Parts: sequence; C-alpha cells; structure tokens
Amino acid sequence: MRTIRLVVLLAVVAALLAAVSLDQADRTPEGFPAPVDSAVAEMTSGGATWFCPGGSGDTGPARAGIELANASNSDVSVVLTAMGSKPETEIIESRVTVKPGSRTVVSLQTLVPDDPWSGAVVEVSGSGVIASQIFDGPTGTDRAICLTRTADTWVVPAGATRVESDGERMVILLLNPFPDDAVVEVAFDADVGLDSLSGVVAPAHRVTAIDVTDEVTVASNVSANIDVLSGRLAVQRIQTYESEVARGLSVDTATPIGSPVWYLPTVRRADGRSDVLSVTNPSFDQIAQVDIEIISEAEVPLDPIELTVHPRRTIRVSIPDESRLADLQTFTLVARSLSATPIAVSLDSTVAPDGENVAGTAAASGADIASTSWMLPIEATDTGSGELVVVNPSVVAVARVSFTAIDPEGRRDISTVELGPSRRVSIPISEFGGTQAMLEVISTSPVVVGSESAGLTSRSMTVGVRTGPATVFLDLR
Amino acid sequence: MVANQPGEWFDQTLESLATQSYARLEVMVIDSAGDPALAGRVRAVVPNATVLDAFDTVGFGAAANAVLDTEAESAFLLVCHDDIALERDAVRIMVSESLRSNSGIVGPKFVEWDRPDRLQHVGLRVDRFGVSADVVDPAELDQEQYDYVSDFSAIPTACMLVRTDLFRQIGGFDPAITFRGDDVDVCWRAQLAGARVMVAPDAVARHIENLISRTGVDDVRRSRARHQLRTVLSTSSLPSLALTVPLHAALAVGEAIVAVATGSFRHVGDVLGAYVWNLRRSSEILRRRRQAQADRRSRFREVKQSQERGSVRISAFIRGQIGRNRGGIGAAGRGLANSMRSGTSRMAWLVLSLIVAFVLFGSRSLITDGVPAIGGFSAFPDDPGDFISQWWNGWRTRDLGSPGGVPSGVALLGVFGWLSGGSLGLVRTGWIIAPLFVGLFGSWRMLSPTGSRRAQIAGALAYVIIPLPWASLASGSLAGIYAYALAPWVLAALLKSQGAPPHPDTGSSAARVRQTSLTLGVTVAVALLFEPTTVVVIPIIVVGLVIGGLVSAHPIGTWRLLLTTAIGGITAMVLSLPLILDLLAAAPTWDVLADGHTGSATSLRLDDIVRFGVGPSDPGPLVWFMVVPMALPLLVGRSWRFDLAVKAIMVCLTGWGLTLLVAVGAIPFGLPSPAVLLAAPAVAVVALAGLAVASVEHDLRMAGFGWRQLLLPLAVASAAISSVPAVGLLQSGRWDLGNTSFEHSLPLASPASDGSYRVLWIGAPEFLPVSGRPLVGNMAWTATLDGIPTLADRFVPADDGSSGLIRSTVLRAVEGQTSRLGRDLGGLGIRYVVMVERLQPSPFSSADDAVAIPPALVNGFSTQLDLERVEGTNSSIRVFENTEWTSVRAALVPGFDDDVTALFDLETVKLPGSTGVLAGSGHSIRGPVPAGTEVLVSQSPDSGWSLEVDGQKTSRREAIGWATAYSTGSGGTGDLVYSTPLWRRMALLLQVAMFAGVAVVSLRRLLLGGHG
Repeated sequence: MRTIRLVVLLAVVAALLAAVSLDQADRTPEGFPAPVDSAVAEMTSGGATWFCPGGSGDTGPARAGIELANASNSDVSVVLTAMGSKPETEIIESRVTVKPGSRTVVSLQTLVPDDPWSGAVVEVSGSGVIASQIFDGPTGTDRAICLTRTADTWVVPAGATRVESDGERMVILLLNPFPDDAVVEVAFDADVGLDSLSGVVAPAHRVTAIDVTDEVTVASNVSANIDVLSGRLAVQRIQTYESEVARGLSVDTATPIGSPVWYLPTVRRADGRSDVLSVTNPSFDQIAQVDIEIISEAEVPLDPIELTVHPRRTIRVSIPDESRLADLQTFTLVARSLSATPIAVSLDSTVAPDGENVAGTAAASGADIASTSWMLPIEATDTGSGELVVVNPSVVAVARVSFTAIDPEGRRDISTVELGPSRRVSIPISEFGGTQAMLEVISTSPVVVGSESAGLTSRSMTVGVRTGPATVFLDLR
Repeated sequence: MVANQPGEWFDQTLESLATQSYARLEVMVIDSAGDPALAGRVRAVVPNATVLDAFDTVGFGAAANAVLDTEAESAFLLVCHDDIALERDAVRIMVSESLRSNSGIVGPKFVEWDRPDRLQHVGLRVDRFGVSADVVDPAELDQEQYDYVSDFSAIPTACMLVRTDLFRQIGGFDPAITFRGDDVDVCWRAQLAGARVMVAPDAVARHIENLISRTGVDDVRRSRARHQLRTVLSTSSLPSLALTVPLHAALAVGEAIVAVATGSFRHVGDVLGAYVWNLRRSSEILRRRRQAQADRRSRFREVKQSQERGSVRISAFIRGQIGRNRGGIGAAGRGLANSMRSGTSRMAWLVLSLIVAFVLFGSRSLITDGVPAIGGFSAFPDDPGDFISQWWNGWRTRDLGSPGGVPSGVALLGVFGWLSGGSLGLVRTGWIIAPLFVGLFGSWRMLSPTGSRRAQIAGALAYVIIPLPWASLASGSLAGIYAYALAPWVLAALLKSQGAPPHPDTGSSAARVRQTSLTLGVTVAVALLFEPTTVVVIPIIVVGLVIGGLVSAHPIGTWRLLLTTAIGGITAMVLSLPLILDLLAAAPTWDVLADGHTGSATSLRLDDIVRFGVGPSDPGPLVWFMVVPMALPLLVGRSWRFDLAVKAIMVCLTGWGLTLLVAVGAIPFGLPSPAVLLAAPAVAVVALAGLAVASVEHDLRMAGFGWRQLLLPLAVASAAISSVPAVGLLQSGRWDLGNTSFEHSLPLASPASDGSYRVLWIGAPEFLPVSGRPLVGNMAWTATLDGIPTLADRFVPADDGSSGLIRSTVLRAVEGQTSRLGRDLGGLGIRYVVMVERLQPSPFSSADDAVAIPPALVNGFSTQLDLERVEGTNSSIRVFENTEWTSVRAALVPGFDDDVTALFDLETVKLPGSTGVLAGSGHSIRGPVPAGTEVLVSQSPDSGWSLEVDGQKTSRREAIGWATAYSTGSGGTGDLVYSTPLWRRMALLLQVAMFAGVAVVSLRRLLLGGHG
C-alpha cells in the first residue's frame, strides 16, 4: 500500500511538473496573417484596389489622368470609379479593359468635368495592373503610383507655401472612397509656427482638398500630421513651384504609417540640383533619434547624419549642404530610427532651370519594406534620362537580381546583376528599351527598387510596386 | 376481536375480556388467519366465546366487518385488536360514557403493554388530508394529564366501542383499507353520520402495537398514503376536495422531492403511487362517496371543525411524533422522517437546504429580473410554439440555412413554455439555473455508495465551492453549466459499472454492464437534448478512470467500464436518433462539437485551469486551499477510499491536462470551451472532497496519533478558506453576470421594412450569441436571420449547407483579395456585420476580459468600399452595415445574374436593384410577390423548398452560383414552403416514443419501488 501510494503521489507530482513545463512554453496562437502595414503599394494575385486621390480640374495646378498598365499576359477588366469634390458631382463608374503589356490612360476631367478636384478608385479583378496617376499642370508634369491602402493616420513630411515670393503652392487631397463620412484633424508644423485644422469633414465618396497655402502662409517648410478621427482616407500632396530657381509640379502620396527604417533609393547630388530629405516624427510623446545612413558606390563607408526629431516635428536635411556627401553623385539614404520610434520621410528634389540637367521638381516617399519581387512602370524616352536603382538592404545576403521588361510584344529578360550586402546598383532606364514598358524585378533576397526619370521638361521619382512578400527591414540581417 | 395468529400475550388479552366488570359482554373472536388452534386457545380462557372464521379476508377492517354478517343484537360493539389488555372496568366505563354523552364511538386510553405508566394513544389528531397523529408524545409519562373525556377526530381501532346501529349504518370498516387508516376512515364516516367520537380516559387498555413484526411487511408509508387519500376522496365534500386535493398533491410532490434528494426513490413511489392506487379504485370511491352522502347527518363543516388546521404531519414531525423507530423492517431508517431524525441526516438536510438557499440567494437577481441574453444564454422567442415548429419542421435558418432539426430539448422547453402558460421567462431561468440542482443531486448520489452521509455533505459543499459553475454562469457558458450537471451522473455510472468497492458487487457483470450502460446512455441522451458539446465529459472521465485503475494497481472492472461506455454511447446515439441521422445525412462536421474553436492557442494559463478560473473574474488564490482536502484521501485513505481517490485525481489530471493542451494549441482541432472540459475534473474534486471525509471516518480514526491527525483540522480549515470566493460571489445576486445584452446596443433595422436579412457575427466563440463555427485563430463566426437569434439558432447544424461561403468571403477580405466584400455578403443576404469583442456591453464588461478582433480582420472590413461602419454603438462591438445588401428573399428583374456564375463575380458585376419580399422566418412564409420578376432566395439550396404564387408552383433555377431563384410569373400571393422529409419526422416521433418509454419505465420503477 505504501509503495502504491508513493507511486501515485509521484505520478501526480510528475504530471503537475509536466503541466507547469508545458504551461511555460511559448504559445503561438493561430491567427490571421499580420497585415503588412507598409506605405509601398502592393499588387496581390487575387486582385487589387487602387486609391488615386487624383488632381485638379482644368484650371487647377495638376490635371490628373489614371494610367492603367497591364503587366499580365491577358486582358484585364478594370472598374474605375471617379468621384469629385462637390456634393452634386455624380459618381461615375467606368469599365475599362487593358490589353496585355499595354497601358491605358483615363482622364478624370472627362469623367468628372465640372469639378475642381477629382479622384478615382480603381478595382482590378485579377492581377497585373498597376494604376498610376499622371499629372499635367501649368508648372510641369509628374506621375505618382496610386495607393493600395487607406489609413486613419497620414503624414505629409514636406511642403512649402511661399506663393508670393516663390510661387509655392501646397494642396493636400483627401480621398474618401467609403460610404461613410470621415472627420479629420490636421496638425501643421511649419517654419513659421504650428497650426492646425479641426473637424474637417471628408464626405463619403468625395475628394476633399485642403489648400495648405491658405492655412499656413509663407512657409518654406511645412509638414502635416493628419489624424482621421472617423473613417479612413487616402491622402496625397500636390506641390507646385514657380520661381526663377524652381519651377515644377511634384505630386507624392502621403505616408500612411510611421516606420523605424526608410530607404530612399534615388538621391543625387549635382549642380543646380537640390534634394531635401524631410524626416517627421508623428509620435505624440516619443523623441526619435535618427541616423541617416548613406549607401553609395564609395569604398569607404560614410558616417551617418545624426538627427533628433521631437514629437510631431519635422527636420529637413539639405543634401547639397552636407559636406560629407560632397564627393558623391548618386546614392541611397537610409533613415533609421535608433529608438525604434516610427518616423516618416520624403525626398523633394528640385533642379534649377539654368543648369545642365533637366529642370523640374519631383518628390517621393521612401520604402519601408523590402521584397523579392517588384514591378515598375518606366518611361524611357530618347530625349529623357532616368535610372533604376536597386538596393540590397541585407548586411549578409547577396541578392541576385533579374530584370524583365513587359510590353505589348511580350516579356523580355533584360539582365541579371548580383548585389552584395548593403550595396546598390543604378541602371539607366534606357537599357531596358521600349518607351512604355513594365519592368519586373525579381531578386533572390529582399531588395528595394526605385526609379527616377526626367523627360524634356519634368522629373519624377517613385518607389516600385511590391508584388512579392514584404520583409520588414528590422527582420533583415 | 380480530385475531391473527396472536402470540403468547393472547391469553392475557382474553383474560382481560373475561374479567370485565361489564356483565353483558359477549366475546366474538374473528380468526382472520385461519388458525385451527385459535378456537381452542380462546375457549380455554373464555369458554362461551364465539369464534368466526374470516381467513379469506384481508386486513383488520374486512375481518371486523364479519360481525355484520352475524345476528349480533347488542347495542354496542367493542371492536378490538388481539394485542390489547383492558383494565377491568374499561368496557363499562366506555359504555357509560357513550350513553352519557350520546357518542357513537368511544375509545380507551392506551398505554404501553410493558410499561403501563407510558401513554401510547389518547385519541388522534387528524388534518384535512387524513393524516393522523397522536395527541400524546412518544413514550409520554402518564400523569393523568389527559384524564378527561374529550371529542377527537379519530381514535385507534385497537379498541373502540361503537354503537351497533351506527356500525351497520356506515357499513362497518372500509374493506379496501387493510391496515392503517381504517381508524380515521371509520371515525370520519361516523362523524358524517352524526356521531361523536370520544375517548374515555378512565378506561385503560394496554397495547402491544407491533404490526410489522407480525406481518413481516413494512408497508406503513405506502398503505398510509393510499388509505389517507382514499378516505379524503370518499368522505370530503366537493368544495373541500377542490382545495384539499391540490394541496395534498403539492405536499406529495414536496415530499417526493425531498425523498429524491435523499435517494429514497421507493418513498417517491409510495407517495405518488397513492394517486395511481386510488385512481384504479375510483369507482369504489365514488360508490363510497354516495354511501357517505346517504348516511350523512352532519354538515361537512362540522366534521371539518374537528379536524386539525394545517398539516398534522409537519406538526407531528416538529414534535417528534413521527419517524420514531418502531422496530421491524422499518427500523432501517429508510423513511423520510427517520432519515431526518438521525444526527448526520439532520445535518445533511440542513446543509442541503443551505446549499439550495445559497444557490437561490446567489441567483436572486437572475430569478427576479431574468437572465439577459448573454453568450450561451440565448434569447427565447415570444411564442413557445416557435420552438416546437422549428423542431418539427427540420429547417435551420442560421448561417445560410440547412436541413436539420434543433435538439429536441428545445421542443421540450417549448412544451414547458406552454405548460407554464407562456411564461417563457420563467422557463428560461429554470433552463439556466435548474441544471445546477441536477448536478448537485448527481453529486449527492455519486457519493452515496460511500455509505457516509458526511461524505455526501462534503461533496455537496464542494460542488458549490468550486468556482466552475459560477464562472460558467458569469461567462454565459450554458454548455459549462450543463456539463457540470452531467459529469457527476456520468462519473457515478462509470464507477458503478466497474463494480469496485464500495459499489456493491451484486448481480452478474453482464447485468451490471447492462444496467449502468443504459443509465449512462439515457443520461447522456438527456444532456444531448440540450447541449451536444457536453458529451466531451465522457471520454475525459473514462480515460481518467482507466489511468487511475492502472496507477493504483487495481484496474478492477476496466473492461466493464469500457464496455459500458461503448454500449452507453450506442444507447445515447439511438436515443438521439434525429441528431445522428442529421449527421449521417450530411458530411460529418466537427463544428458541431468544436463550439467555434479552432484549436488555436489561448491565453488560459495552468493556474487558471487548476483553479477553474475560466470566468470573467479571477476566483483568487484562496481556491488553492482546496488542494488540502483533495490530497487527504491520497495521503491517508486506504482500501477503496484510496482507489477511488486515485481515480478521481486522475480524472482531474486528465481534464486539466486536456484543457492545458488545448490552451497551448497542441490539439489540432477545436474542442468545446474550457468550462466544458473542466466539468469532469471539477466533479472529480467533488468526489475527492467526499472521499476525504470517508477517509477521515474510516482510516484517520484508526491511525495512531501522528502527522495524519493534523490533516483533519487542516483540511477543514482549508475547505472553509477555499469557500470564501464562492461566498463572495453572493453579493451581486447574479454571479457577476452582466445586466444587459447586446440586444439594446444593436441598431438593426426591422426586417418588415426592407425584407429579411442576415447578421454576420464575428468574435471569440464565447462571446457570440449562438454557437459559432471556427474562423481562424480564436475567432468564430455565425450568421443569423433577422437580428438577435434565439435558442433555436444556438446549435451548430450538422449539415453545413452552403455556409462555407461565408468563411471564404470573410477570408477574401482579410487577405486583401477584395474591396467589395459588401457585394459578396450582399449575395449571401448579409446586411450587418457585428464584431463582438466582449461578452456583454460596456460598462458591464471590462476591457481586460475583451478578446480583441484581430487587426487583420478589422482592417479587412474597414477597408471595404461598401461596408459602412455604424457609429455610436457600444464600445464592445463594431457594427458594419452593408450598403450593397440584398434581402434574403428579394425580387429582381429576370436574368439579374446573367453574368454571374459564382458568388465572387458580384465583386465586379453589381446586382440590379431589388425589393425585399417574403419577410420572416420559418418553414412557411407568405407574402405578395411582384409580377414579372424572379425571387432570389439566398439560402442553401434544398429541393424541399418551393414557391407557389397564387397556388401555382413556380419554376426555379440556381442563381448567383449558389442560391435559388424562382420565377414569379404574373405575381400574386407567394408561399415559400419547406416540405420536411418524412424520415425526419419519423425519427422525431421515434425519439419521442423512445424517451416516453424510458420515462414510463423510470416512472414505473419509481412508483413501484422496483417491484414493477
């Protein structure tokens, strides 16, 4: 009896110890795949919805058209829903079929003719279509890839409103594609002081324009933190310059989310060119210690530029003024928040009209993720110039990157390059041939892809569209 | 004198008659036993006595009535038993008193045979129910305190002087009243005939009064119950009966309930069987009523005035007059009164009463205010007929609709609703609270084989101390409550099947297996009527018992256990025929048992599991003190106490272990909620508490002084401490369950305005208003028709129908494959999406108890272009309204879906405008349908459905890739009707018949005490 009792007690104790051990083990609850909160547009296999905040009417600073580029090998049916800013403007639904490898442009002014502002939602059944916005205004042209997400917080890191002295106008477009109204608060941080807008209603199925020029006057630097109190929006900035030193149109989508690390692939230092990096800390209470790292072809790594960004404030880094960059021409900047406080960045590029390079302005947000698969509509003209930049953010992995051009005649493998850890490669767009090709970039390890192009009279910058799985930079080695 | 094989005392009896001072006494002895020696014995003492042979009669009254057939012409009859001895002047005094006071019946003062100084009877007090009790207390000393002539309701038949004419007039004794109750009957009828019934205390009779030892049959309770009711029915006035019979029935039911609680089923049979017995003799009773009416000289009111007010039984019990040990077979103490008179039994009754009061007091707010529709406590419809209809018609509206019936328990609740006059709120409260008492009773029964009333008391206390039932109540886990009620019955049946001590090893193994498996099967089948997921309790207990037998090296009856489980399972399946047929008719789905769980890891920790802390509030650390009494039988128990304790602890470990494995995500499929999984270990703890007491009684007492002796006070103190959390729960009066449901927080439109619609509910399984289907992770979903669901929607149908479409649609949104989820959902008739993050609305739920909707899910829905977030709702829920919804039954232009071959095509091909028609639910829906349209019916296609327009059957086709469209032709009044398959109804009827059979057999066993 005593033995059995001992055995039983030991069995109970052993079972409890095993249970305690099991209880301590890590639990990985099955769940939905964590949503990739990235500012980079993505194209999934099951279809995509593109949110294009759009532009102005005929008399505005940036007439907008929607360019639909089909990278697949079959016809793709697209439903484009155009919406204006006025309550009486009818919502127009247009069905468009895009041929394989080709592009189709739909003018928003045609669909919404009498509205000062118009935007669109593009719904694609199936994959392979990228929706971009092409802009044309009195000061120049630009293009920007539409957003593939909406959000309830947005950051516009840069802008300027010196309309009288420098012809700088800044407009923020809010596209509300949803059936319920959104309510917005906007906090401005400008060199002339802080300002805010409260209770801005972005009506359902409407585009709402906030003319920052009227709200924050005579500011050489303006950033905006947009908090959507109710609903979700897609947000975009339209910036115009019209002065002797700068003339052009820059349109870039706002940043929907802060991230600790951003890659800006296409930064250049050249005569007459002024690139300005804006770093915004959207946090309400955390200071961001930020290092701006430089990735270039130089053999000797350069020390990073160290920044301290206070909550809800923006710091600008003028590339021409940084002496350590004096010997570089093209390079990539990495904004890394050492304290892991999310930040938002954008790059504004201005080329003076009297230089050797094509004059104009361009703006682009950075990339907050890397991927092994990218797609990019490129503009290669005989007279223009441009470059495609691929950056390997890994510190250990070598990326083997292949390029394929897709146009109405089919797919053409262009080249393959090998990219060492923390290296970048810049390839002239002209090497890819064709005038309006889609460029597919496939890599063996996650990379970042961006491009810059210059036409006869204008410039544009963009980050590619992710078509593969996203990799957060902090997860990379 | 009626003689029935009298003993040696008989000579004294005869001598007392022979020596009476009343000179004209003639002795007539009626031999009711056919004893050939009796005449000799009589004549040896009273030579001139007459001996009548009445051996063909049964009972005292019938035998005594033999005198009516004689030529006896005396003015008085002295009717007496053969075990009395009268004092010399007794007859003279009684005759004198009868003449003096003109009474019809006169009795003596009875004293005990061997102790003449002790009073036995001085008249009887009788209440309106025919229940009699002595005026004197048991063994009361005779101090002449009753020595005055007085009227009484009745006097014992042991010796009564009755006027001969009266006796003839009333027809003597009632021959159907064999023993017990004949005194009341004859006295009442004498009083109705205008006679007084009196006691002349100067006349003294010694009396043995030991009928049981002479007959060898202890049928006191049974015969009294029958005869008392017979007397009431045959002598009371009709107005009096109208009040008396219901009161009598209520008392009988109350007595039966108490008897059930004490495990005295035979007692129940005796009490309730009295009605059956009298019903069978209704013609006799009517005849006797007519006779009594013919003989009546007094008003009923006058007779009634002599009766006791209130209940003699209760007052007698208080005075200790009933239930005393009368020797013989009855001395075993099986009677209600006897059981209540022993110390431990009184304690048992006290504790049980306190426990019942504890539960009722703790539930006071739920009882008075009703139970809100929270979690598994589904709402009830307004009409109980809805339950019956849904059960009978075999179509489930939840999700996307599917063939299949609701569990028959729902129909039973509908019947209860009818019986209660439509008080469905009362039925609903009982539906939630009553299982606690069923489980309590089961725990009591489970420990009865220990033979220790104290063990049963300890188990009952543990039953309410354990936090599990209160956690289940607080978290709205109906399945948890039902599992906790089922578990003790299952554990008791399976332990009994093993035949290991202390269970009596009677009968063959086959008989035991047959009996216990039937018990188990019926028990489980009853549970299946209400909560299918509770069956999970069985394998946990079986595995625990098997392991326990092996670990304790006493695997006695393991094969019988397994065989019982198998046969019991088959029995339960047979009794649950409709459910089984539904499962067989469809592809079997685990969703029925998973209760919306996917098998994903949860945040439940071992600490919470062992403390049964699965409710919204932490039971606190004091529950740990329960470990001490649990460990006691393992540390000091011997013999069967130790073996049972090992089995119980293994059941605990099995249940806890399984719950932990589920919590860490080690089980690859969904299992019911932790409250269900922990029911078996909780009841095992109840068993351990009882075994702790049994061990103290048997083993600790025998052990020498040492450390073991310290365990007793330690265990008692620990048990007391561990009860503090349960006592603390009494404060709210609702076990911390919230006060309101989501019903008032949801801005859902009336289906009458725009047509019927579905609501898609998404959230943690325990938060959904009905049992959900697994989605991903800790999320489940369900869809209900036209707003808040009722109990009929609660159970997951065996047939999925097309319900998988909903999950696929939701996942499309989450995976970012569509931004037109509204159109997809609209094609499924879904108008609202309700994401539930808490069990009940804020502020009745804490954010700490919330299970947040995964961001991916929120993001997936928030980014849809056709879902509108409904603002201003309670913070516990998110509500989206589908701006592109189509009514579940909508009229559209013909060919509305020409370009739609699958549901998801709706993302790019928008349906044209529609009009909601045929709003409502059920198997038959009527309403106008417009001409020249097609009616899209968005529910799982089934050939049983048809649409008739003005009596003409319409054509139908598949629509939008999954639903059905009916052409309306020239329009008119439409009837959308579901034809229930005949086999389904046959299965339902068969199930009802089987349960009726089981009920009849059980009732028969109860009523006949196992003799039937």
